[in-house]
Order: sequence, then structure tokens, then C-alpha cells
Amino acid sequence: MKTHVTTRINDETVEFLCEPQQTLLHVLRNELGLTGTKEGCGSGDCGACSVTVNDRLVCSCLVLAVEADGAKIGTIEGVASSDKLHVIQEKYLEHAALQCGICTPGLIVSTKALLEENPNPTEAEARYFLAGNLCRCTGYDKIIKAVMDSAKSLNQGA
Amino acid sequence: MSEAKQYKYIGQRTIRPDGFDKVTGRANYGADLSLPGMIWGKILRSPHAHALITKLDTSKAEAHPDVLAIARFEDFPTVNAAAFAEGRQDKGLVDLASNILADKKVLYHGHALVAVAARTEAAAAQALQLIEVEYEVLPPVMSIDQAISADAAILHEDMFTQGLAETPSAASNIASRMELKKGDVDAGFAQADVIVEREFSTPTVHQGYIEPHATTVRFDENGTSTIWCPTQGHFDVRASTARLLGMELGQIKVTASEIGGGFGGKTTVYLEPVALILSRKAGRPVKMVMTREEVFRASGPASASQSRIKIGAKKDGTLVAMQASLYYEAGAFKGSPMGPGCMTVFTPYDVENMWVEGFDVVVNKAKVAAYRAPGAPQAEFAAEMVMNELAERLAMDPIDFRLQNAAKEGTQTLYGPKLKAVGLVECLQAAKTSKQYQTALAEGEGRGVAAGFWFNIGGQSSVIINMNPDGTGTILEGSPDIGGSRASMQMMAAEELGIPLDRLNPIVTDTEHVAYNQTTGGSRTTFATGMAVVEACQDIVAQLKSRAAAMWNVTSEQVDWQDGSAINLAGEDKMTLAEVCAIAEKTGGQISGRGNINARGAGPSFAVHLCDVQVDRDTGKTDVVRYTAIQDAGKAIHPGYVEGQYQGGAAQGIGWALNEEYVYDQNGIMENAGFLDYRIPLASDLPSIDTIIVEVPNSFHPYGVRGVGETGIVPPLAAVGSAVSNAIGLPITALPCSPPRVLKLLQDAGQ
Amino acid sequence: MATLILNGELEKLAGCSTITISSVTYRGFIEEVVNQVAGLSADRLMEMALAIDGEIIHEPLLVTIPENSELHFVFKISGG
Repeated sequence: MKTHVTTRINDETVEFLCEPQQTLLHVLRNELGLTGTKEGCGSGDCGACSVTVNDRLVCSCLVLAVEADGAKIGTIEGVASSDKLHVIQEKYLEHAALQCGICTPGLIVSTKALLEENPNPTEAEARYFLAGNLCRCTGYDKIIKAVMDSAKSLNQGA
Repeated sequence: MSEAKQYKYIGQRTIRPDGFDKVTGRANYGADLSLPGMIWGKILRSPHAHALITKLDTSKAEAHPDVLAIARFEDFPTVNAAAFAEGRQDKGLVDLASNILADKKVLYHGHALVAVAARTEAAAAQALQLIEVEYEVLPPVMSIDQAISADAAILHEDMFTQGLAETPSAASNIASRMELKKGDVDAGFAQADVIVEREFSTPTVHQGYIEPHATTVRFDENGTSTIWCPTQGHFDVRASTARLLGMELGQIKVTASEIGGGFGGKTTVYLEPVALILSRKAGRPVKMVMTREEVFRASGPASASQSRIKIGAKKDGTLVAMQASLYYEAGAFKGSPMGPGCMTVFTPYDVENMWVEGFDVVVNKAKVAAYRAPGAPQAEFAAEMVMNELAERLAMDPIDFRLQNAAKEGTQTLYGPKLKAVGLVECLQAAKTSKQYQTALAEGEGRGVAAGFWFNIGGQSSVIINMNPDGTGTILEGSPDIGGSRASMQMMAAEELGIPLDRLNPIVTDTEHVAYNQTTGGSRTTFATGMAVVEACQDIVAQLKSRAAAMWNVTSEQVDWQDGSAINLAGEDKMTLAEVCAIAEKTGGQISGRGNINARGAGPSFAVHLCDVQVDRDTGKTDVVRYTAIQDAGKAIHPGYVEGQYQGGAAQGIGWALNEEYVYDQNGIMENAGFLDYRIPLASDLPSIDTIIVEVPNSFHPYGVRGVGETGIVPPLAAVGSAVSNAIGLPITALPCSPPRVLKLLQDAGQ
Repeated sequence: MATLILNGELEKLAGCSTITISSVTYRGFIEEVVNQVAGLSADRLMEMALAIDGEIIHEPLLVTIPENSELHFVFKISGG
């Protein structure tokens, strides 16, 4: 028996049918074609599936799709505006903060959540906030530099 | 090549061309492709580490209304017993097939047995539960000590140790032994004033790529198939699949999706041939995606190792003899990186007398796969730990001690040739003057230094560059881009052709658009595929010159190519690349360049790492407080991504040294098959990893490139291990230095 | 003339550590080695890479062996 869900994803109203046990991640990727959100573990340990639900950062593999009903979902596909990258995306590119790139969507969503919550993080705060996003390629140094530079840029722009 | 040459793009920190898709989520990775009519495949795996399969009945699963196909070992037509017995098939292929779907025996917990394809993922999972299997459980062989003991259960009754003086008459878990020597170690040790001999062990670890293995395969009615998968080498996926299924290469097209990390672990096949069998039987496209648990249990871990190292030195610090015995776990089938381990273990040192033996040992664990400089980290960990202990015994600075004995141009290696120009001395000097080495340790901190060596390889690369009438172009290459290599291809081509970066679009094509390319591995891509790009550009420049010559009614020899333009040496004329491309129609047709090469002259690469740690004596937890990775790149095409390779290698090595290990229960079942319990380093675990790029050019590459991808994982094990040892004042002989182990060391020492 | 230097297992099988080579082609070189040393087989040697004066060549079939060069057989390396 499928459930009808009405939600808002990246500021657009979306309706879908889902099984009660389906995760939000599964629906985003397999039903709605939003494959920018990645699955690395399915158990909430790697952060590759990070999205926001009502502005709160979550692992979408740990959220049931039915919980999206009436909620506001933010995914990587909604970070850039139609013709321009978000500052965070630009900074990740400038700082070579990605190698294989599989963790990048989750990290960018998490970085955005961090800077919305704490526009002036210390490096240690950034490292702890992003500790839920595993990256196996970079050793995190360039990611943290991109985050700190994004904060600086966003603050100057404000 | 001229070192003084000023480049326009080489050495700049450009924006990688594939980056936009990756920061926006548009980039398509292994699990991102879905096809119309697609069904899902899943695999039933062994619940035992070692057992004979006495019954395997799939009839109930086949009767499930949503099940459309089942695949078993018998579906590999080319590896049946008859073919093997008649000598028509090599053991390597049989092992590959038996690892993908077990034959009569399961050899590790998680070993694949049967695959099912069903209309939905959920139905496939249900169907697996309907398969009836009975086993005769055998004792699991879970360590080198167990495997080589006289009463060990034998994994393969047909395996006899190779490389022994006399052919053995009894089957063994030792697949092979090798020995390398130069000089006379006994005579060398006789000259030594100080000798240190110790035994070491390292655990089974995983490459830990964040993207699980995945594939989508479509078999068409005309007998051809398309495979989509994340791999380091789609041409080799094609070759393996074709051999396993008795198909021609031309019947299989493989598209390498974007790849979410590999580190050597995505150089083989697990799912692709199975999905092809399922798709052929079902007549539908089939998608298969491993869970993280399956990735840990059944895909490429790296070898656990045991080693004994003995090194002797004179009082003045001169090394006189080095000796090693190295044992590597291969997992369920032979083929550990014991060979490269033996070949790399002492390469950083110029010492007359060396003797090394290695053993490739099978155990009831998943078959190992390559992991960044395969074999080298385990061996060089042990050697570098002993080097540091010797330096301490000699009261010498560990960097000075290494400088005194460092391998350099002309050093006779143990594995064969003399070294060409290499950058170890330069790395050691850079380490000595680095900010970190000049920083005094705080109370309770410890410091470790280690060197590392890896060969790097060249090999086959094939590139085509197609120019458009407006002077833009497309670089078609076949080396999956695992860490930014498209950027370096674009930069090298722009440099050669003298046109802006954004006029060239580098694409990693499928197996049909360029000729064979060896797998991305061995740190070969920027070196070898880069050389192929340069060759393709030279091909284009030659054509551009002849086209311009035709327009000017002069010979090609009278045309020079400078900074993106043809220059008429016999007159005043000049045409830009875009102008020559625009007249291609009139001068003989459109312009393409080709570079199909088998690159030689890969430049060996040395690194030196510095690690400072703080150990909490109450919990045994180690924090890395400072870290510097120094490595010879030959020439850094894109310094940002070169630094990234150094930092990534360092981070993986820190994980290996401090935390990562497969934990098995008494039945050989891995107890920590998830990222929560197999804990790779987090952002909060690491300090900023400083880097120093040393550039001693590789004379065989047009820009001096050496590979940079692998060497960086070699030094951290001993750099971290020695730092912990230095901090707690006790020897470290086993990795990882995880909190419980360090705490036990402290408690046993009465501290 | 070039000099082939044998190490480890090959040295054991061959019973000597150096062989003087006069061929300039790879095939001629292999033939010469096998003719001089009973313990080594052409198939086995041709599976290995060849280092000429330190340059490791994985597929040496078409190489020309330079005068006075130093040759080593090297196990083929793949990498990760």
C-alpha cells in the first residue's frame, strides 16, 4: 500500500507515492531522479546523502520518505541558482577541495548548513561540524580551506 | 626539456573541467544510471568463512513471480573444469570466476554464491531467502601463522608453493615464495656495530572508497552488451568480462561512469559479469549495487602482513646490511602484492648487502585488491620503524641518518636497475628545513620521520583529439579520472597547442571511441596518458603546419608553430590555430590528432613524511597534531591536485596506522563491516596536512612528470608509528596504534 | 656488447649473475640468454619487463639494445 506524499523540494512542490519503509534517499534517487544525493553506506555514517529537512541537516538514508510530507527539503540540486554557482561551490572548485567528488554534494550541503548556523566558524568548529561527512580522497585540508574561504566571502558580501 | 621554461598553463591552479558537474550533483556515478525496463540484481553470500557447498537449490527462488533470472558459477562457460583440465584455461581466470560466484567451496564470509534478478529490489532480496544452501563447515584459516602451520586446513587442494628450490609434494596455503639479494648480508652484518632486528604486523584494511561498487548492464538481442560501472579501468572490465563469458571484445561496450574513489580497489570485476549473465537471461537491463557491508566483506581489502626486519649499521651511521622476511595475506585466492613489497622495502637506501624473501599466503578472507602502492606500505613500515630505532641507538638525527644512506642517481636497486635521477635527497633536505621540523615538540608530544618509495608505471594509453572548425577541440581519452586528471590533460594540451584552456574539452570516453587504455593505477595517468595527449597534440601541430603551408604555397618545413599560431618562415604570414582550423575544409578535411602509445620511463617517486602526535595516557588515544608530506612530483602539472594526492595518501596512511583494521570473530566473520566501526579518519581527527612539492624532473616525460598518486601512502605508517613510539617511550611493532592497543602497551609497561 | 645482470631467483636458476649479450634486437637477446643458460626459459623471461640502463620497459619486443648498456629483468608492476 503506497502512501501519497506532498512536499517541497528545492522550492518546488513535488508529489510522489512511496512504500512506508522507503527512505527519503531512495525516493530522491530512484523515484524523483535527484541522483546528486549519494548513497555511501545507508546507515548514517558517511554523510554522502546529506540533505536538509525543514532547514535541519540530516542523512536522507535515515529519514523515511513519508516524513517528507508537508516538509521543506533542500538537496544539492538546489544549491546553485539557475545560472550561477553558489559561493561555496565556487570555493570548493578554487581550492581543489574535491578529487573523486562522490562526497562533494553532501559536503556542500553540510557546509551550507554550517555557514547558515555559524557564519564565522573557527577551523575546529568547521572540522567538527563536518565530521559526519566522510571524504577518503583529500585528507580534508582543502575542504576546510574552501569552507573558511566561503565564510569569508559570504561575510564580505553581506 | 628546459627547466627554466616558463609555461602558460602547466603549474597553474586551474579549475578542473569536470568540477561543475561534481559540485552541482549533476555528475553521474556508478549507481546513478537507470534504464527503461530495468530490473535489480542481488547476490546471496556465504555465512561461513570456509565451507564446502553440499547443496545449492534455487528452484523456489526461480518460482518467485518477480524473479526473472538466476546466475551461478556454471554460467561462466569458459572456466569449466574440462577447459581447465585440458590446459585451455589459466588459473587466474578460474580464480577470478570463483571469486565472483563460488564454485564448490566458499572461501570467506560474504563470498558470493548465487545472483538473482527480480522486478524490484525488494523482490530480489526476498528471492535470496528462498535459495536453499547446505554447507559442510571447515575450520577457518584467519592469519598467516595459522595458514602456514603444519596442521592448517588447506584452502586449495591444487595449490603447491611456487618458487621453492624443490617442487613440493603437498598442497600448501603458501602460494609462492620469492627471494631477492645483492651482495652478502652475512658479511655485511659482520661489519655492523649496531644491529636491530624486529618483527612487525599490520592488519587487513580496506581502501574505503565512499562509492560502493555498482553496475547497470544491458544485453541486446544482437549479442552485444553495454556495461556502465565505476571502474579504474573500463577496458579491463571489458577484457575480463569477455574472457569470463566467452564473448568478443567488440561485443561489449563499457562506459566508465564517474568514479567515487578506488585507490586500487576498483581495478577488478565483481558485479559486471554477473549482471551481464542476468541481463542476458532476463532480456532486461539489470542494475546491481553493493551495500556498504558487502563492500567491506567481499571487495578488495589490502593484505595484512607479518614481517621480520634486520638492519645493521656502523657507528658512523653507514648502513652495511638489510634483511627482510615479508609475509602477505592474499585472501582467498593467491595474488597478494608480496612481489612489489619485496622490491620496494629497502629501495630508499644505497646499501651494498641486501637480502629479502617474500611469501604469498592464502587465508579465509576476501581476495585482496590493489591499494595505493600495493605491498609497499606494509614492508616499508617495518623497515622505516627499524631505521628510526637504529638512528636512536646511534644517537643520530633520523633525517641525517637517512641522508647519509639515501638512494640517489646511480644507486643499484635490489630489484634490478640502477636508479636514474630521483628526489629522495631533496625530499630529506626539504624535511629537515621544513617548518614542522623546526618546531619544537611540546610536553608529551612525539615525532616520527619516515621515507617511502614507489615505482610508478607507464603503459598503454590512447588519445584522440578532434578539432572543430572554430578552433575548439575535444580530447578523447580512456583513463578514468579518479582525482582530477582531466584537468592535467586539458592543461598539457593547451600548453602544446598554445590555445586557452577552455577551448579544449577533455572527455573520458567509453571503450568504443579510443583504442585500449590500461587501467588508471600505478600512478600512470598524468604520466602516460599525458604523454599520449602530448603526442596527439604534436600530430595536430604537424597537420596545422602543413595546412598553413598549403595556404601560403610553401613547404611544411617553412612553417613554424609558435604560441598557438603558424608562422611563415619564408614570409610575413601568420595564422592562428582557429584560422587554420577554419580552412580545414579547403585544405584536406577536418583535423584530428592521435597518440596511441605504450609509455616507458615512468619515474620512481620518493616521499618523506613528518608526524607529530600527542598521546592521551589515560585513554590511549593518539591525536596527530602536525603533519608534513614531502614528495618528488617530477613536475607538478596542477599543484593543487598534486598536493591533494599527498594529503589523501597521508590521511589514508594515518587511518591505517591509528585506527583501521578488520576485526574478525572466532568463526572468521568480520565484526566491523560498516563506517561506524571501521572508522576512517574524519575531518575532526586530522590537523591540516602540510605539503612540500619537490620537483626533480623525470627526463622521459616531456614536462618531467612522475606519478604522484601512490607514494604518499607509504611513509605515514612508520611516521605515525614512530611518533607514537617516541611519545610513549615504548616500541611499536603492530598496527593499528588504536586506543585499546596503546593503552595495553602503557599498562603492560607499568605506566 | 651489453651486460645482462641476473638477480634473486633468476640468478639461482641460471647459476650465474651476469651474461654478456651481443644481440641488438630483443628477440635475439632472449635467444642468446636461453642458449647460454639452460635454467631459463624464453616464455618466462618474456613475461618480465626489461630495464635498459634503468629505464623499465614493460613491452620491450621492439627495443634496440644499446651498445654497453646494462640490462635487468624486472617483475611487471601494476599498482593501485
